[in-house]
Amino acid sequence: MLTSDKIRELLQRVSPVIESSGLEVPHIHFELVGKNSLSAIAAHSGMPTRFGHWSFGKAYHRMKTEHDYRLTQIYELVINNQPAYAFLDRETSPAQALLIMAHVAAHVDFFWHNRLFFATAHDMVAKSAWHQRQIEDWRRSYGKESVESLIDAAMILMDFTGESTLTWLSRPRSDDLLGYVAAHAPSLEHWEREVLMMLRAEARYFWPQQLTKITNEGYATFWHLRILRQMPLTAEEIWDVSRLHTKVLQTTTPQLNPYRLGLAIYQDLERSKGLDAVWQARDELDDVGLVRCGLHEDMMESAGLALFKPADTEPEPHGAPFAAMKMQLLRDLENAGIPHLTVIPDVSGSDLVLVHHHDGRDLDFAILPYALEAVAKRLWRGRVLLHTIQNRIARTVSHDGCHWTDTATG
Amino acid sequence: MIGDWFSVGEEDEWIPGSIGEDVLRHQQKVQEAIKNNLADMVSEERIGLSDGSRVVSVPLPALKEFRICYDHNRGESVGHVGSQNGDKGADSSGPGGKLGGQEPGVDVEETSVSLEEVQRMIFQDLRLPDLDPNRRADGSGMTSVKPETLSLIGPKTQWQRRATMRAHLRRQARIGRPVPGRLAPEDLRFWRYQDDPDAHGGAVVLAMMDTSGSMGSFEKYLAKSFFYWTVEFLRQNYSRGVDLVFLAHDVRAREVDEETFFHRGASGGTVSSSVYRLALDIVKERYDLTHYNVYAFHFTDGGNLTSDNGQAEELGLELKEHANFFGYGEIHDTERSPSPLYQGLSDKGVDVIILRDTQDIFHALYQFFGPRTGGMHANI
Repeated sequence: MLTSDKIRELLQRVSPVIESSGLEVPHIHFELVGKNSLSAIAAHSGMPTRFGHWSFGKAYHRMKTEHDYRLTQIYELVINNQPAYAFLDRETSPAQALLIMAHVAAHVDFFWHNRLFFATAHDMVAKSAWHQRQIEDWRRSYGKESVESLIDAAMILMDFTGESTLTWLSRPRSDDLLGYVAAHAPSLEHWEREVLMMLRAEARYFWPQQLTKITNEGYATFWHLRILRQMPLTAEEIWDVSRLHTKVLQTTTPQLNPYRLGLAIYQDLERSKGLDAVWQARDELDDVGLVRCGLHEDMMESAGLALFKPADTEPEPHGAPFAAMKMQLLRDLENAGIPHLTVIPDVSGSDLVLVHHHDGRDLDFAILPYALEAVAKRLWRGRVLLHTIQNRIARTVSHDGCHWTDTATG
Repeated sequence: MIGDWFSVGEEDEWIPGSIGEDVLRHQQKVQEAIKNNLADMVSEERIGLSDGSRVVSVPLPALKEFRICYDHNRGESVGHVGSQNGDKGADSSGPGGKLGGQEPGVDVEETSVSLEEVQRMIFQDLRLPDLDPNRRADGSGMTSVKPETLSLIGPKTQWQRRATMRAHLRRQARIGRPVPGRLAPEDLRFWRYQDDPDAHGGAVVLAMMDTSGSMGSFEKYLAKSFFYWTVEFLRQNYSRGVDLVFLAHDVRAREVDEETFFHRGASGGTVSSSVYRLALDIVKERYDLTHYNVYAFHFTDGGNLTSDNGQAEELGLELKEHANFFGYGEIHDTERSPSPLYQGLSDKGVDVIILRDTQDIFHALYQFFGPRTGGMHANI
């Protein structure tokens, strides 16, 4: 069981190595919490306080179950904030805590330097807590039912708040669906528009993190390995630390382990081009960029990547030429795996018209009607149209809250 | 400057309190969804056939978070080959660690609920109808209590002085003073009472099923499902004092054990009077009506031998007289009018029901065991 004094002592130990490593680490507040709190914060996507919604309860339940059955374990959570917060599991062993501290320091350095985070809010912990209070007030004023259905529907559009990470371009963007609906939905109340804008702010905050999973986790793994290797450790500590490191790099078919892939790329960068290339990648790249310029054919063998059909119950790995595999990986990572959607401002004003920019992958038509129904019913309160392509045929689908239509237009 | 860049805290206030409400709301939604799907679940084959799995996956559309997303079941994606495959040297003690936990997991489309949970929700409104407690039905309430063991804590009224003194003296002796001293809390002994259910009496359920050749797989499935749920319901809500008697019949009736009842094949014609006569005989021989509540249920496809209809009706009514409740169910896989036996029994006040599809299993349970007032399908 770690205590705050023990943590301080361990931080003193790891500090000199972190400082000489070249990482630039602003102030980090470390907080020791129990496993359940860690799951709860993780269910909130890392925010200690977030607006109430049953989906967080569902996520918490799943994480707690996974943890209870030892399926996965969360060791730390880092929050991109000023100051940065890191939540540590109280039950971690001291040696493992050393690794986690180095990992945390690298994450914070990454948030600090990567260009995707330049426009990201630095006070989201406070903002999120404020959102929670506000929404709680509205829940009391307008009823649980009304707030819950609003958030249910808004969460569908939280994936679509603009693909750029530069929010200071305050000009309305056609790919900012949630912002468009908040501003132009014909019959929403003022408070409802405010809820949408709050959720939009939170989605904007998380968006750069969605685009930099491999870049960020790989970077942190690269550094914790490097820092720990420079530290004087006892044999017992080395064993303890290696065990955790191995666990982090472990892979489960058919999931992509961002820690493993990222580490491989950064290590290759450092070997072939020196540490400067690592710094440059940290500053400039997202996942797509890192894979595009960092993944080479000679790494394929050791990276252990394969193609899978996720629909199979027991997905069988099958190999493919390097170029094809890399192309597929880039497609998976593109826009964090979220379809490109834009809104066409409708002059007549009554319909919400969306366009799906098809890139060869079809939308999931099994759940699309439900998603559009919720948007039509609760947010737009009118017809929602979506132009897309399904099985190589152009289609226009729509939902007006009561009826779903699907017509071929090509 | 070492120590400049960090601070450490161990405050409880970081723990999100609101997650408790989110969890509650989620569970509430699960319960609602289950409740709305009960009729489907009762007819769920995997449950009915009791294949040993105690967890059922329930599709809960209300709990799915719908998104506008790619169809991930089509096409391919890049992933890692699992390190467990072949690589035996790796640490196999626990799969997967996550240093950070921010990425949302894969959305589960189905919620797994335990069979017990489903049963609890289904059974909470069900009762054995017209149960006469004076016939010492379920072993609760009408039982005697007798002292069983001694315990260290208890209400003052159950204080046992003799045992307390003995314990006290033993303790005194241990510390070398074999004379009474001051009583200490650890000396006190109290009686603990145990319910002693009356061994004679209770309730008996006669499960009668047509196993004639005309009972197709669909008819058998419905009848067996009904009895499966009835048996589970009785076992859980009346754990003591409910006897189950399984009677299978074609032209002749036999008493069979539970295993045979649920798994036997079918052949022969249908003579319903045979099973009613056997039921009456069993009640007369083994179940004294002053001590037992008798419940009889008969499921058939209605293809009773025409020549037997008169006798079957007569014996059926006699059975109704002896029993607290007699339920007659007819299973039709097509739209056809009820059999003469159904008409006859129905006219004389026997509780009858026609089952046409799997959802009717649930309706039958509620008709026979559901709340009596406020309509037959009040809880559907």
